[in-house]
Amino acid sequence: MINLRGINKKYKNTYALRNVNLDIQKGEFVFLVGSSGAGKSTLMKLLYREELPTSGNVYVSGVDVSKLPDNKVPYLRRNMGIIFQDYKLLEKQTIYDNVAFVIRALGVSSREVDNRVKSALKIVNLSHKLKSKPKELSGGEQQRVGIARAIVNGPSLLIADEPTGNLDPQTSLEIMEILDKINSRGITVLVSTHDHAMVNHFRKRVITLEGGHVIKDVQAGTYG
Amino acid sequence: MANLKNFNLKFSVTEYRIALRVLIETFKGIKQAGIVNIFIVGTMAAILMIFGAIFRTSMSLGSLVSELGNVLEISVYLKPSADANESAGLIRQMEHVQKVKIIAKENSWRDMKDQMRLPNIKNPLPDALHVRVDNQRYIRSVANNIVKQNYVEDIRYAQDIADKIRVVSDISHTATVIVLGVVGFLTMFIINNTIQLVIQSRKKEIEIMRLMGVSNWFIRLPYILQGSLYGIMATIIAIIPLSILQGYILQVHQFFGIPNSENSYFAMIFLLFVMSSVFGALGSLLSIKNKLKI
Repeated sequence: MINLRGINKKYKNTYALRNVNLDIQKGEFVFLVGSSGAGKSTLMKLLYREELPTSGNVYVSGVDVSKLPDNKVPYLRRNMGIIFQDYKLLEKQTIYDNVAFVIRALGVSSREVDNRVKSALKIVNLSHKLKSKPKELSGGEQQRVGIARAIVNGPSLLIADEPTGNLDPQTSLEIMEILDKINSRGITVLVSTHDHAMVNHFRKRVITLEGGHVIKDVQAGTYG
Repeated sequence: MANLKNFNLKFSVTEYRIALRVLIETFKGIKQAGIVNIFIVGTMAAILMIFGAIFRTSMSLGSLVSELGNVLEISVYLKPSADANESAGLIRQMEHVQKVKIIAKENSWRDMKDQMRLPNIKNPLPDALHVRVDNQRYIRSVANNIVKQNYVEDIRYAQDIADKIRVVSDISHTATVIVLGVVGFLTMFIINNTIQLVIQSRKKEIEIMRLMGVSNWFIRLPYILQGSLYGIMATIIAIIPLSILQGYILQVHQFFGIPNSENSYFAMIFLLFVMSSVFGALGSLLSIKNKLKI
């Protein structure tokens, strides 16, 4: 699913990633851990082509993302779901519209939009909040909307950048359980975090980054 | 990821839905601009109205100048030894000469005698030619050319009027071009700033769309359409005072006996629509280029 080959990423005089080689198989659940500045976010941005590597190749489903022309980047992103630490919800729109507006832009029919949005919101247990606005929801609920929006287009890969960074431990656990549930449907899930307890609780594959290097890659691993 | 390698553009139901969605997004952008819309469209309408009025007046002035120019002609008096038909033939071959009419000296003398009491003397008048040019701006050069001919005794034409007509015509054309440039610049400036504000207010939405794989053109097109729509709406408003002006211009045309120019009015409206929508779209494109990084 994901193959990184000799990835280096340099910002001015600082290396964010150094000679990273990585393989993630389809259907895996992977925690990407490390302290702030370790290179987690940079690595994720390379996957959805928000950043380009200074050298090396990034393959997603066999396609070299680093060589993808700009006009084809949207097609790459349509096959991924991206979850952000700050949720990135539209304040003035309802929960339903927040989840629906991207697939509407992709030309999905109204009936299909309705089916998919309701089904995505059901997975994150928010079927009863269709007409609410983001401000009326708790942080955990807002993140669940973010997850629903990420999965509504049926992605094969889910990228979550610090999805529990702003949440309390109990809510974080709920979010991880939802991601785990999504993973059990065959979707590859890559989660960056520095939440030790969460990583240790789920016992998934753990890739540890430090100073831009992969220093540890353990199946059913722990952190800290 | 199969879709990644297979995305040939086929205009299907999906594309129609996307086009509809683009339109919805466009109107959403206009709605979001709120009261600002009134200022933008109002200002643009005023600018277009000024341009339309100058353009329409210039067209009328052009017709007037052309009509006046057409009645100007050069009177050529031939030497007694010259043959009128032969001289007329030679002048017809000159550049910009449209028509040459021979006025035989017998006819001139008869007319003169009809108008005045003259003694019964020998006809002292020479044969004359009346020469019209295809464009009044060439009247001086044609006259200079004719006067050099050895069969020509003298020439007369309204040199001053011809020169003034040419100056007025040139000024009105230059003014139209300058105003067109100013209107283009102002339209683009206004639209550019407005769209920048709209983009700023929808920054988060744009970022989400971008990261979720919405096509670049889907994100950009509503802003371009919004710029064009402002231009079209402003033109519709500008047409109202311009229609009133058209009424006055027609009266002036009737007074001077200039041919009615209904087509000029429609040409102006067409030009206003094309110009405002194109400049509006260009203004949007500029702000997209500067502010919308995809």
